[in-house]
Amino acid sequence: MSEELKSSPHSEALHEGASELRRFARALVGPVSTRTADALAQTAIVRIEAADRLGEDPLERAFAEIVRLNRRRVRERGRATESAEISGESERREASVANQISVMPLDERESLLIIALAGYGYEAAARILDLPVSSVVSRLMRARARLDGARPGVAPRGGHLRVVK
Amino acid sequence: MSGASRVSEAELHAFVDGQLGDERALAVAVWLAESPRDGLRVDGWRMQNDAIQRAFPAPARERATLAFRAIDSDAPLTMPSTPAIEDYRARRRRRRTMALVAAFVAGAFAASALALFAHRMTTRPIPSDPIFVEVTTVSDEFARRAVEAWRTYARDPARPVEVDARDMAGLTKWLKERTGLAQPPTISGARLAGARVLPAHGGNAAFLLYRLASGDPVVLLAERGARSPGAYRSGDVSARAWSRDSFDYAIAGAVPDARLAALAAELAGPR
Repeated sequence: MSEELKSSPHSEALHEGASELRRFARALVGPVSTRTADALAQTAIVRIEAADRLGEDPLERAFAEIVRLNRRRVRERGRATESAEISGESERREASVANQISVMPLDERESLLIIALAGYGYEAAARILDLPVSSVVSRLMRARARLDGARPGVAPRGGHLRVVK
Repeated sequence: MSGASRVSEAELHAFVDGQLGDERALAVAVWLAESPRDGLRVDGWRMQNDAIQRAFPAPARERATLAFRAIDSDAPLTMPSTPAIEDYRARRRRRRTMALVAAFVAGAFAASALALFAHRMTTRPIPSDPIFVEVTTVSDEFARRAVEAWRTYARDPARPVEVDARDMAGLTKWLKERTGLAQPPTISGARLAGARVLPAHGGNAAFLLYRLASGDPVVLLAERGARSPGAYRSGDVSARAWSRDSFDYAIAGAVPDARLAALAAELAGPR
């Protein structure tokens, strides 16, 4: 049995952020698999807690670890395009925001949630998702356009996309 | 729109997310004032952000106690093919109703299932690189309660305890009747100041306040149970928990870790 006391600032930051990590993991995994999401978050916390790297934000690294673990989970279970699994009945029913996000392509969901839910800026989001900032922003824009598509009376603007930092 | 320079789609998103510098944010604000259509879209994304925050409430701040493997597990961790929340909730409600009925039947199978599970856990190797690491389930909850009890009462100048230790016989009898604790433990180098009775799961917990020679208050929480050892820290207050003789104990205080560990070792050791 471990009796390790969570005492370092590194551990303290992870402990303080545990609730946010689990919230993000639950949103990322989807509404019907809370147990899996909690396991992702807990695993990320344990791994990052075990590797205290000077000068790095442990919470940011834990978010990145959740993303990495979830990508691996999805890859190994062949669920890369969960949107393909929406039934006709689901499509007809008015979807909640959580539901719409749960059926989004994973790459768009990651970018949307790390920014709109976890509250990270674009550069931190790029570090967490291990992507260029331009990719994060374009995925975020696609995710929002997808949500816009379910909202009556809002049409996307034409024109090219330009990336800002 | 003569007064505003054109802004890109990405800048509108960056504006919503607070990612623009002051100068560019001002330019976008001017643009939005003159472009109601874009203003509507920006408002929509803000509403999306708010809706996302509401859609995923933060879980309670309990520590996750998860100890299972995704690989080699008999319990699949996949999502159902239709991840509709309402469907899920309706199914869950039905399942709960059915569970009450099924509980009686399930009892007959529980023992054999438990034996099978124990057998598998002891005979199957842990994967070398699992997706989820094997996490030892540690009962930190009791230690956390000790920290909260310390914060609530230990520094209360008016009434930190209900019963003062000057009437040791009365205190012992009172505690035993309410919590089952036969005798308040003694701590070398510390003086028992008094006790409280706190509500606990399925019973009462004994709250014992000691003062170290330095004057620092430490709290010993005791209640019936047999949890695993645990530890918890919040700010400068930390706690360690253990079980002994069908009682769970947790000692908490704003003292150095080494001192707290020594106190816990003394209390948990042979008496």
